Amino acid sequence: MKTIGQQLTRKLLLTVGLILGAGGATVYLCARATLQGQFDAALRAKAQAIATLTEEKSGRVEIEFSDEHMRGFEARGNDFFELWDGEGGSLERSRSLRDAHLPPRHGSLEEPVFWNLTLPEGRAGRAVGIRFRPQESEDAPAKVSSTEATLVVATVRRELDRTLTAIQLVLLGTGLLLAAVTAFVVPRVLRRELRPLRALAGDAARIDAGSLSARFGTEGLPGELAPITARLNELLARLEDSFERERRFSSDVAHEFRTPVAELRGMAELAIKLPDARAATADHETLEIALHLESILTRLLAMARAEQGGWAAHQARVALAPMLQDLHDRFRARAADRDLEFRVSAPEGAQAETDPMLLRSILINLLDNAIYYTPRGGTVDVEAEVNHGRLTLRVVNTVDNLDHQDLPRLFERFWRKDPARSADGHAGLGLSLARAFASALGCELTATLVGPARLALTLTQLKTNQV
Amino acid sequence: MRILVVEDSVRLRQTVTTWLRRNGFAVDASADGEDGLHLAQVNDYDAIVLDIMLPKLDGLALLQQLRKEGRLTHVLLLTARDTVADRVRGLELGADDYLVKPFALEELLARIKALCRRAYGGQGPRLVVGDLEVDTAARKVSRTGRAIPLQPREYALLEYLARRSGHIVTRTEIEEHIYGGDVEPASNVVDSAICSLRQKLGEPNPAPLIHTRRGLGYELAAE
Repeated sequence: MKTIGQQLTRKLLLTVGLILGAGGATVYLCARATLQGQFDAALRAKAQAIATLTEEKSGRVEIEFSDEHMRGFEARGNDFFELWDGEGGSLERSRSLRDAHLPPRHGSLEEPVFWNLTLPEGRAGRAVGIRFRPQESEDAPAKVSSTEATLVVATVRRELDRTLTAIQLVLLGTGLLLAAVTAFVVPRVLRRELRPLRALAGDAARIDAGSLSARFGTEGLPGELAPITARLNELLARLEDSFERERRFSSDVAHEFRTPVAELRGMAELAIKLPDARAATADHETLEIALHLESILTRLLAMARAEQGGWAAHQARVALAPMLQDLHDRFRARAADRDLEFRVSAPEGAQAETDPMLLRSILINLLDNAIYYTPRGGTVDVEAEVNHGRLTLRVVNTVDNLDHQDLPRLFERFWRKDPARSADGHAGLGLSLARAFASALGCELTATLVGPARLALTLTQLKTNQV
Repeated sequence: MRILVVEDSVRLRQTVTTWLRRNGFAVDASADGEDGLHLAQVNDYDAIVLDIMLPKLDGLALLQQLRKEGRLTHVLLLTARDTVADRVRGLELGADDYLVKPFALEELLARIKALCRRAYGGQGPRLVVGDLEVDTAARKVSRTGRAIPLQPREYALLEYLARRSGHIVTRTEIEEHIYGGDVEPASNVVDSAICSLRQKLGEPNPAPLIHTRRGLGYELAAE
């Protein structure tokens, strides 16, 4: 698998290689052009010097040449020249040429021709060729002759080649050194700088369904990764919450169904194996278990039906005060048994446009829940109001062990604050069923903590039904 | 064998308790974690049947506390949760076995017997003392090859003595492990049971197996 580190390393090395290659070539070409220019200038100066020694006397071209003045042209020298008259006849050659001749190529005095050539003894050389008019002799000073002469001056280019080779080697060596340093440094720098990314990958590898509480580290992260890890942590938290909810749900469902089934099975097995140990109340117990299971099933089915839109709300005008009073009568005895202060209130004559059956079912579930869970001596208040045709119903009761974290879970199926899930006929379905009914009724059911120890469940009509 | 059952479901607690008692176990029962922990701390049980979801103190916390105190009583977890994670967690906290609700009473019994065997140094299901054989798996007793029918409590007493064969078992130990400590002071229930057992064991072979060690207790040994 290609990693970012490997790809960056390869591309950086390639780029650095190309830059070094192009830079080295440019430097070399510039150096060569400069050195060759200087070399040519020197060669041209020599040619001009020889040209100034060339005179025309009586229609003949002559040269006043002396080895003493121009030592390079002596027999074993490194400089060469050859002079031709206008017809191409060789007039003079340096002794260094011995028997050889130089090619008579030429340009003008102002624009001489330079070229590389092979000199006697196979040595590499460079030559300049000019065609010029020699000065006339002293008899007519500064008078330009009408006869033209061709002069080629050449010199061994060994020093130039050596210098160029040296430059080549220096550039190549420097380039290789830089490439090696880059190849050494880049992967290490990348490895160090990509450490947060590897740490992120390591963190990610450690996370599975069993370790969703783990979070990605956020300290010292580069700016590019910080938003990613923040988002991942947010997603993990949601995933953890979702897994936890799922796990809790499975566990609660298991308990709600397995325990009564275990009770039934145990009682039945015991009655079969030890008929004399069969309790007198066994049939009542069996019936109670069956009714409990039936109640759970009925609620689950009602919830499923409500969620699938199976409850078609039949809108009617509902007088709130009589309905609340009726419910008060129904729950009064249970509230009194638990020493609860139970009050209902609705404005005189207030009416709501809603489904009376569903509204009543919601209130029964909310009240059943409130009266069961309110600690002894607490209060349960039901208040109703209609504002601009919008119904709001609140059931507020005292709570003693509920905190803000519990609020979102109140409506989860089978959720109960009591981890032991005491066998008391409550399965933790009342509020989820109430919410499903509320949804079918076009209402919203929310839970809030009012003050430190009062829970308010508020049913609000979402659509305004003007009455 | 003395068992503690900690289960908050009244019906299940009663069923399990009755079933175990009828099979010769001395059973104490508790409905919540705190009470269960207290009983487990003050009594010496051969095994504990422990529900996980309990009021006041959950079963896993109870188990953890017991192990923290160095109590190694064998524990059978009884729960509605059946995921691998739940089972692993229970076993990691020191449970010896795990039974998911609903369960067969026979399976519960077999598992408790296995735990009790482990409680006595991993003895096999067949205990032999001289010409006496006690098959703890089938709960059958024979001497010189002849089967001896015993009442569940007599069987429990004999098995307890057989498991500790060669050692003196005190009257208090018998009272606690076989009668669950429900013995009135100055009661002769242990003496009566021993007497009855001696009679039944003496039918196939009159050579005495249960010996009284004056001032100490009883010992089952072929002398």
